[in-house]
Amino acid sequence: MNGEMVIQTTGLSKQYKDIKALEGLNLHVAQHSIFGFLGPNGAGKSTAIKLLLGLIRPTGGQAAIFGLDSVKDSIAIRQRVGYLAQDPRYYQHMTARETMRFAARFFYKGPKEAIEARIEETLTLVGLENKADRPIKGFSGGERQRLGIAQAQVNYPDLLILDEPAAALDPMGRRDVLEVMARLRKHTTIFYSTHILDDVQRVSDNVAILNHGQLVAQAPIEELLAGTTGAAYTLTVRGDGRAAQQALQGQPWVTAVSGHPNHTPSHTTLQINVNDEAAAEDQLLRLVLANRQTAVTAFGRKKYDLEEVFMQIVEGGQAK
Amino acid sequence: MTTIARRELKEKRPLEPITAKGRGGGFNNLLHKELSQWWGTSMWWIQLIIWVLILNVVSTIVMLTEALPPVELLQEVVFTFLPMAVGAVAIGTVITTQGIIVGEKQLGTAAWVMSKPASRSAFILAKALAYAIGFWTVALALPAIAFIVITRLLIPAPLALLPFLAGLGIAALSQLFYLMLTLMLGTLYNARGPVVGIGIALVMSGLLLKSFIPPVVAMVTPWYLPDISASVAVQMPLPENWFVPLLATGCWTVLFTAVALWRFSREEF
Repeated sequence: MNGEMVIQTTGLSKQYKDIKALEGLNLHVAQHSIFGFLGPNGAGKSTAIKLLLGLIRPTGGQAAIFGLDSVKDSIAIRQRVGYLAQDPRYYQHMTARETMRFAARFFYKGPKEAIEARIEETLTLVGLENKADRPIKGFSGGERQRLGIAQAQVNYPDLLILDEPAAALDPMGRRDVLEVMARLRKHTTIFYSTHILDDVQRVSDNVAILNHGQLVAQAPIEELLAGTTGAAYTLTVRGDGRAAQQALQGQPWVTAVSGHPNHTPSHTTLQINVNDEAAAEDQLLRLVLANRQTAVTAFGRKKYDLEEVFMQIVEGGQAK
Repeated sequence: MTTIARRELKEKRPLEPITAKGRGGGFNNLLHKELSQWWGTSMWWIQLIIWVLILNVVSTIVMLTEALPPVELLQEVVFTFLPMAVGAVAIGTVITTQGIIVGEKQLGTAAWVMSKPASRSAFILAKALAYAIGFWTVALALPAIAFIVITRLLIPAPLALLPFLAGLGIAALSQLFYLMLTLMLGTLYNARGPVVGIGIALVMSGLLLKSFIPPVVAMVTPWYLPDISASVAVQMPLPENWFVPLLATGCWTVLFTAVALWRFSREEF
């Protein structure tokens, strides 16, 4: 079933009176991917997730999960989905094990021993086996989040939807959650929203970026990290770099040259954007080194990190 | 087959997925959870103590203090016990259940449950059934048993059991009316204030304003049920059209249930 679409939305929209929370979302999430759903606060990520789960109704468009309609077949969809809310809330009087038992009984009717074994296994997966019989009332934010992942995983879902799974966690907790997600990848498709870009870069294979309720980018993460403004190279030279800058400006394959003084005194790093990678790789360094007084200390293909790409897309309002 | 072998076999049985879906999806699990909240915590005995104190202590005081012939005394205590069971249990129902929908909406637990394969109807109906069973047991049935025992011990006149049970049934109908009213209000509002305010106002109107309201209006409310329940229990002559308040209360209860189910099906979490 690899390559099949687990989530497909067409023009999915949600409007509250005059506020457009989500506009014409077209999303495609393939099976067994870890799909990062990014966007600044208020971009519409949670709204989209709630629409997928049938917790709210769309005002336009439609969503299909496993090929089923998110409104008409909501219960059948939820049978195969695990969900962790942004701020998960459970019955405070219950222990973690009782919460898991309650969650499991929506999916299984028996036998009791097998249900208990599943609960134990899932609590162990998130490292809560020693706190299983404590009331949730005393749980920390991280523990509640881990319980959230456990309860979402109790039915071995075909699709795990996590809304900001690491937002409330300290670095250790975040690392644990990301490890759990990576472990679950071979069993399930993970669709998660976040604004922590480091996490996305570490575990996701596909990314969508939402801004002001609109999808502004959707691509495999490598493609996104390759840059949205064409190829670029970085060149570090001794001195103020003016000679190198002059040598490159005016070349037909160079679209922009910008210089930044380096942290190291007396060095400058130039970023050269090009529209012809072959020409750049053949000529760029030669042109710069033609001036015998120019000393190059570093040269390479510019690697974007997700934060740069995200900022370019969100701030520039650039659509893909 | 040995016990150990049987246990091993049982442990190896695979999980049986639940396949029944639709409007009743998750009902059994939700009902089990609601009943556990009633019977697996201190809630049931605290409620029992309250209702025994309110209903049995007051009616026993009447038995011990009123100097009446046995038959009249019996009528007097039934007219104390049952109307109080209708009125006080109505107030108790509104106060106890005011937060069971609103609270879950505010805390986010309703959204969590609705992310599982559970129907919205099951969410409401499981609460209705669990709270009806809970109240009927601890606020009506058990105090009624205590009342029957005490009257047998203290009043040398027989209490006809079937008419008394019929009167108790009318009290149960009244309780169900206020339970469904409160649940419906919980689906319509997002704060406890209007839920408890409207519920209590309706009960108090019945107690204080009944005689000032045209009978044709009062007849289609549950306000005559306290008197009807006691009259039925002691086999006194019933007023003309006595069945109208019963029928109206039943119809209102069905309507409240339908509105609660409809409104909750449109709730956005």
